[in-house]
Amino acid sequence: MKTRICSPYLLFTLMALLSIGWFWSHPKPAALLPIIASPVAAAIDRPQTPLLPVKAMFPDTNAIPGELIPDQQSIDDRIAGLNELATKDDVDSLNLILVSLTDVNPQIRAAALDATVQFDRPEAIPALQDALALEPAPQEKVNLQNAIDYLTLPSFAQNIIARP
Amino acid sequence: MKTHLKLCSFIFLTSLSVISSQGTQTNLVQNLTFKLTAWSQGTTTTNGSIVTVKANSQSIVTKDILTWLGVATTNNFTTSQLLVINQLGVPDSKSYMVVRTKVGNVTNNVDVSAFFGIITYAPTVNSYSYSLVNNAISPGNYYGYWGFYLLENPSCPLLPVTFSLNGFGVDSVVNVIGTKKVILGQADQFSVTNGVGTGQVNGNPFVITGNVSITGKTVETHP
Repeated sequence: MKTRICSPYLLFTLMALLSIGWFWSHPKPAALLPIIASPVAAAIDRPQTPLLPVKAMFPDTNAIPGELIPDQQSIDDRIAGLNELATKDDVDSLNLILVSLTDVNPQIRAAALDATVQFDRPEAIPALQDALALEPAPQEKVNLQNAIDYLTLPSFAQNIIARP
Repeated sequence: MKTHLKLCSFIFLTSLSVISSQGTQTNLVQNLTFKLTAWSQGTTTTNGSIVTVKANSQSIVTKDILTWLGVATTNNFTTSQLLVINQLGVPDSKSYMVVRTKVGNVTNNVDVSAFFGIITYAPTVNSYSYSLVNNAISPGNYYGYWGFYLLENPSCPLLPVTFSLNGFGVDSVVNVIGTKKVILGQADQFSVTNGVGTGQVNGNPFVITGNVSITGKTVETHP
């Protein structure tokens, strides 16, 4: 009688142990499968990190001073946001990029300039000229002028003829 | 009987937690950016006894390359991002070039790695430091001669433009810091500036100059 009552639980325990064993012996499939849905062929190897003499290790104790983190994190977030805006094609996104051309932080200004170039619209040129007039730093002046010159170029895309 | 039930539940929940911790993966997501100028032979005009030959210079930015990749893969990539994704903190993990399109709350990734190639032509010149105590490598710079290719893909033959760009590049390795102020891994910020190369469009050759970069430190965790 007792054996009969216990056997479903023993069976359940056995199944649970088997499932643990199965997942241990079948590691998760390729690294990026959950986020890549593509029919395109296999990826290339990344550029090899050259000539590292020892294995990289990232111990948990390797923390860095607290004061620097939030600031740099917010800067990185803004740069990521500017990069995303650069992929859009609407005036609002362009304006959001252009207001950052005169940001107090040089990293943000540089990212805004890159995003403006990537947005690839000549409508951005007047704002770049305004930023150029306000900019005191010689190197940033050169970068702004280069961006203006680049945006005046016609797009190479006009050469593309659709293939049959 | 109750003891058995508790035991079974504990084992089952433990097995679930083991499975879930095995599945978590942290990816480093970076932007792949192009700012190029294509130089091609322009028109020839004759005005009286003067024949004028012009060179064309035209811009190629990341959006153009996304459009061409869209043609090749029969997708619409007009407002997509071109990303490089690799597993964070896993040395020598494979990198994937991915086109990410967001429509509302839906994100779609298409792997376009097969269209790209990166070559190191010579051993890099390195500037870094590491600890003899725990072998941990500090951020550093790796300077070298690199080649970057937009390649034809036999399985997607509609790519309208191909090119190669070679030049001096810098692979700048920086720490990626998590929310708990712990270094999660390292990220390569790669750029070739003022590179030079050649390309083909509709069978016509052109000379190409400009910059290619892989930048960003965005971290994504996937269950």
